[in-house]
Amino acid sequence: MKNQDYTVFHGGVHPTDGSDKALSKDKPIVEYTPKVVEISMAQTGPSLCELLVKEGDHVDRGQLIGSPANFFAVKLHASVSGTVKEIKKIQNGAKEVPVCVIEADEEQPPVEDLPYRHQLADLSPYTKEQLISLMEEGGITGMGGAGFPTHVKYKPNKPIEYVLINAAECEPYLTCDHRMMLEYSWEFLNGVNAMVKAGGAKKGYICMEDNKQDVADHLNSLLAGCDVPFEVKVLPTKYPQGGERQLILAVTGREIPAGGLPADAGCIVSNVQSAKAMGDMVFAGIPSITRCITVTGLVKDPKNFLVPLGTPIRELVALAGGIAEKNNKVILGGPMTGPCIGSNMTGDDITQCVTKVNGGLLVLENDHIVESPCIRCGGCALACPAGLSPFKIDHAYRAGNLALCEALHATECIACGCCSYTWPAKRELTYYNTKARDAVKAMIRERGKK
Amino acid sequence: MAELHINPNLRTPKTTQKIMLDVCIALLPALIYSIVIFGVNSLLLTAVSVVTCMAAEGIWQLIRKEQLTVGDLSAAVTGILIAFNMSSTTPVWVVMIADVFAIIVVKQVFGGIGSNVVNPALMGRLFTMLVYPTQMMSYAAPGAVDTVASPTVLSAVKSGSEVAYSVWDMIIGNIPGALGETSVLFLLIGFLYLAYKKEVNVLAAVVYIAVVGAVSGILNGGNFAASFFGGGLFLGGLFMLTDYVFVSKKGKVLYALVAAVITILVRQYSPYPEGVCFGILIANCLAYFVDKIDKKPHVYGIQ
Repeated sequence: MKNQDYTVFHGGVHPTDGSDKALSKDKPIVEYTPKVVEISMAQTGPSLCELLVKEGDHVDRGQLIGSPANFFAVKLHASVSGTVKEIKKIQNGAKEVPVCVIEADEEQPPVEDLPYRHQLADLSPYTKEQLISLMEEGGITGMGGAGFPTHVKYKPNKPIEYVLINAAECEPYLTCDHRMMLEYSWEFLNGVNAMVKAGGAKKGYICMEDNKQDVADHLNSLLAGCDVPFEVKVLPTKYPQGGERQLILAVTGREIPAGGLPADAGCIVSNVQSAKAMGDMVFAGIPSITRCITVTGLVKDPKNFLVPLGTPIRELVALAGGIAEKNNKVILGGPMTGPCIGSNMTGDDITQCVTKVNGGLLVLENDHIVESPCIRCGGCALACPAGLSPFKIDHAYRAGNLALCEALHATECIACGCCSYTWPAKRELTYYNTKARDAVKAMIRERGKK
Repeated sequence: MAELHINPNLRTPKTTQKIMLDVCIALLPALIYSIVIFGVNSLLLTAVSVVTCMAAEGIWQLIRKEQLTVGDLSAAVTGILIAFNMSSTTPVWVVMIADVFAIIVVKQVFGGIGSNVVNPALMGRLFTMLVYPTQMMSYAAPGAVDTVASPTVLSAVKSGSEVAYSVWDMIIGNIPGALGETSVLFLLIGFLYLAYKKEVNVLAAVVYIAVVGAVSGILNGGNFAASFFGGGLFLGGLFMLTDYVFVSKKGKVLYALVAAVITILVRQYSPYPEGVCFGILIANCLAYFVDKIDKKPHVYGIQ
């Protein structure tokens, strides 16, 4: 379906004034290698890898240590050279997940300074198929949050017209993509170039919000005179501009049909850091073993870090000066969709380690939200980027009326959080809407079985 | 669910309480002016009405062991609006009966804030108007010390007698009427504050006031000043119509038109000179059907 009004999508919210990103957007990326990394075989919730090494093994940086055990997983590589000290088991939801603990060698092999880091690299030696198999070999995955395997995305059964690089970074506070594009520009741009070719697209867009105009200008100056099949697209700053569906609508004026994938709209969407990882893999043979993460909010000195996978986040919090507020809540990722991992924590309470999908560690002041009745202001429906009436779905779900939830298209909820954000009555709309969505989807599956 | 916070971890600072407080603030200029023209009785009735409404809601919720929502100030808004719809000479006990009826029967029995079908303040007022017509239908004249009832501008127009007030008197509020409804100017100032805070439905208010004022002005023989400013049109249109969710502009306009048509019919063809109360209450009842014919917003990905 065509939308006449380009660069916009329905609804959305403006959760902050920009002061949040200002905390860390001018802080150059700090490279840091910890003494010990803990690499989980489940880099995202549903994914799982089979561990290929055992205790006592010596591994080289970039060596394959995990092979995909299910559809959601990608290849996993050692992020440092070192010795496997221990195989820990941690509980991840219902399943037990092995975690490979590697003690890093004193001396890490140096990272080669190759030409692709400073200029446009030649893509002609690579075919589309080769690039896609490099994605698979390099363990490239969506690094924006959901962590969908990239090589699967690039093998759709539909023709692709556009590759969109999602550089919106619409979550407040996070600035890791912002810094990455500024400081690792050519690695990123070469990765984008490779991705556009891998997708077989006629055009690529690097899509960012206008709060990153400096990045857009910088990239445009680098690309001046280069013949590349992609360009920078600056969009209005509005949450969730970086939602896959909203981004496609804003850039192409198309909608993904209900139940469909971006490929149904002729698009593939990839994250900034996935593109950078792609550049490293194609031109330097380095698989996806590092990522940039923002440690921000109520820490003494907010920073952006480039770290190997498995870096304990508590060490990064310590490097950022520690948590500055006792009455806090700690969030893994951005404030709108990132899960809260606890409240009133100290830095040392954080047991999580960096995975491919962690964009940030955010400390906010703790609060206590008390639900009160809906006052039918309609704000949630105006804010919903999916065009739903969240208050009606909430009501229907709490009344146990799943048929009504279905009629209200609860299945189209994208769990962006706009409705809960905007609601003066502080009801947990997003929570109940996503529950309604999942329940309706389960109901539809059941019906399909009969 | 209590221990870990539920996404999103950022929430708007806006709360129900803050919105209701803003409505109270917005009603303040009209209240102050009412004290100036109708005397301290205006303040007394308003204060009693607010306290009675909040007490009624609190006691009901305590007895029923429901979540206590008195703090959200919605009962205070209802209290102010009930007083605003009464003459400054109304006996205190009549106001209190209206308060209790509005809060208990109209609001809480239907499930409390957000679940009521019709506007509690207007329903409370209508109830007492039907039960105590003598006390309710006599309005004090501005500046009058005694309780001599004066015909309102609209009833004067309806009975064909001469209107003794200038247009400016009507705009600033120097006319007989309910204590909070007469001053169009000060109501508008409050409304602009709410509009600035984006807490009101400006489109519905404008459509309602424009249509009622213009059409009933034509029907009453061209006295537009009286049809716009002579009754409770601004109080109703600015502060009591703007409930209910209509996401599309069309829905809001449709809803305002329903209220307008009924208001005009009552003003013109019923024994009552003023129809705002009926217009809004009946539109409240029809809101469900208006919502049904209203085109739904486009759901992403659904053709």
